[in-house]
Amino acid sequence: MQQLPAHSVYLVQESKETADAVAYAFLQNTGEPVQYPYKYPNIADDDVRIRILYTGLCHSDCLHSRGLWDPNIKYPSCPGHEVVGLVEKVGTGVTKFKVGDKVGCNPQRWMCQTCDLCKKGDNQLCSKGIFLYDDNNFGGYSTHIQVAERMVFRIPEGFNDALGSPLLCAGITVYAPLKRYYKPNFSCAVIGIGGLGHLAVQYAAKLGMTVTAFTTSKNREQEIKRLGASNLSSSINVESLKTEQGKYDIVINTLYIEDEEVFKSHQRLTAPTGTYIQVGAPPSKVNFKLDHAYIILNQIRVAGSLIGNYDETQEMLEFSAQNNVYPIVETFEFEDFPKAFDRMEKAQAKFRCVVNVGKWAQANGLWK
Amino acid sequence: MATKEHSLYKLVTKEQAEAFAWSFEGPNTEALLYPFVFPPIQPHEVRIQQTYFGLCYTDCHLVNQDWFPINYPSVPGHEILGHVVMKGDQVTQFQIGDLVGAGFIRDSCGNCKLCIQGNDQLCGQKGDEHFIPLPKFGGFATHVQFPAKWAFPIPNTIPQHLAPPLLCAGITVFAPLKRYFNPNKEVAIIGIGGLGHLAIKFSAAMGMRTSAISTSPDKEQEAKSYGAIDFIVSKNPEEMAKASGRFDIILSCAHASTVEEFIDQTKLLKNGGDFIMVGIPALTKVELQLPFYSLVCRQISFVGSLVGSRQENYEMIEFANKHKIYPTCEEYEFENFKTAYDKLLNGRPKYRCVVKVGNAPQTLKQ
Repeated sequence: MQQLPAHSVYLVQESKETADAVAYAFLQNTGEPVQYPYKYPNIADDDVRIRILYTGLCHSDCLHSRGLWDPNIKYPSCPGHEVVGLVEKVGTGVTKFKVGDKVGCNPQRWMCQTCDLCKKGDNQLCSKGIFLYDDNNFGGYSTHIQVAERMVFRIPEGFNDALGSPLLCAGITVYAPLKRYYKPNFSCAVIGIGGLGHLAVQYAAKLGMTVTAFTTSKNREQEIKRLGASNLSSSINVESLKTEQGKYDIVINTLYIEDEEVFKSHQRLTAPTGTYIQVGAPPSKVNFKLDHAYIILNQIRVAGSLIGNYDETQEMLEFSAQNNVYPIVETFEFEDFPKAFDRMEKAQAKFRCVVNVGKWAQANGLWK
Repeated sequence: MATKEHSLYKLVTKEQAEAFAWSFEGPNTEALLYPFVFPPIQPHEVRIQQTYFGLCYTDCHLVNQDWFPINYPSVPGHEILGHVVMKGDQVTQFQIGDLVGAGFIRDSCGNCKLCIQGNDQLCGQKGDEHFIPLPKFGGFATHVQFPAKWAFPIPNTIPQHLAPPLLCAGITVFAPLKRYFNPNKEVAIIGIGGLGHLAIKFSAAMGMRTSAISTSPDKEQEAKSYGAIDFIVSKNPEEMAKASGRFDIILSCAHASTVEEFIDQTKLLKNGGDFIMVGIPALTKVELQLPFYSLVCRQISFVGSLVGSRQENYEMIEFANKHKIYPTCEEYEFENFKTAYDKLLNGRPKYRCVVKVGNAPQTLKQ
């Protein structure tokens, strides 16, 4: 068995017998993730330790662990920020949750609650915010995760655990800006029908808007219409995009496309006084080119959006459960984590990969 | 003297002229005196004899085809002030002799969604009739004729020689400041020129904590006299670094000359903040762009604003009147229009060039 490298925080174990948890961790920026048994050094007073039931895989996981956003990340790296699980243990000061509660984690693990942005309600922009996974913290590619209670979410009654984990990132990423800028009578354009886009179509339709899906997948018309789209149109054909110019009060772009003309055409879908929301992000170094003449002459807003704040995330979970909004997922066994990652990395997933963590963890004695 | 005739405005001798314009017969040319008669006034129109008019850099962009090709001869100009000397039968809101002003918008339909919801400056139903400076004759003239709907009564408490720039520069900054206003917000105005110096005055009068950002250190005292609480020299990296992430709103009243400069400006914005854009640079100028992660992960917005609606114009005039907000201007005689235009195009006016029409309609006939 290969010798696993040490981690700055977690105590690597020889085998799962002595471990608190088993992660799937990357040891370098190439290759497959491997099983990494570990113990937690402690449980802080306000920490909640969670037995993970399901983890969703997000493209951000690749961009992080392959070193695409930051080539200098530390290894072993354990990503994953779409978690649904059960409370296993709580720190002495925890009041919001008890053992056995069904909970979730999103891409943020810490908010300070005292800075301007937290006080305003936008904790996702907190100046002292910490992501769920980074050089010091393991994320959701694991049988367990330990997070401060202030960033743990309650999973509502009737929530579909097997389908719902991707909502904690993909779901909130589109739900929050749609809620922020929408009116129920608006016409909505969703650009890119992938992991984010297929959820955006559902939310937008449930919120009452008329939705046009902009996609390259004309062959999935029936499926996309069943999700709530009234029409389909091309996301990359410039001639076709020109005919749609100025028609949409709210545009949500889940893609990033290098072709400048196509990208300007996306901004130009926005109706006068409308809002264009950018959520799709590329590997870091690329610039977003503003179509400033169109923005000014039509008085539109071009807005970036990053996940959502705590309240929006909790609300999204409840809205999704009540309105039956879930991703279409491909489910993998825990031991097939590398296969799931590969499928997601190659953008082949229809539409999100989810790993059934709980089944393996329970069968392998990790629920101690 | 002009030689190229406009299809709507008959080119006549000085003695026969009803009005005199300064026309351009091609891009990057000098203005030529154009004596003319108007087409018959329409029932919904007014004819204004100007007392003063303002010059705005947009007029230069239009004449020089910086954005799109235009027809010549062209008489731009859209900071209009004068008395009603003639009106169509359907005009009831004005009397002959009323003092009115007008800006960039010539007409709107009144029935489309944008008009009805109060954004009539964005009405797309009027085609060629949308804007005052082209293709019909605009404000670089002794007289202007246009729909009464877009004429605004000007109170006589506003000094006439200072009023015209309010109708474009003023409304351009007033409307978005009012739209995004919040007494708790920190505002930065970038560029202390025609738009910027008025923006500081409006923003401070609205009760917002307003800072001025400029390339020129020597504008500090002046900016503070207008109401700025702080002054940051954009060429000073330490000052810019210190102000990083400080402002809820940035109103950009100057074009960045490089991509790096634009990106540096966006760094001054707080996460979740609004960067207001009002000035369209020449198409050959710098592409406004910023790193994707800045836009997405900092959740910032770029919002455009185009002059203002009729309602916003009425409000701006009342607000400027009440708070005595006037632009700083350089005055020129009508006969010296070319000097004013050249100052605008090539020099750095402080901060608007205003032309006094005075007796020109009579004296030019001789």
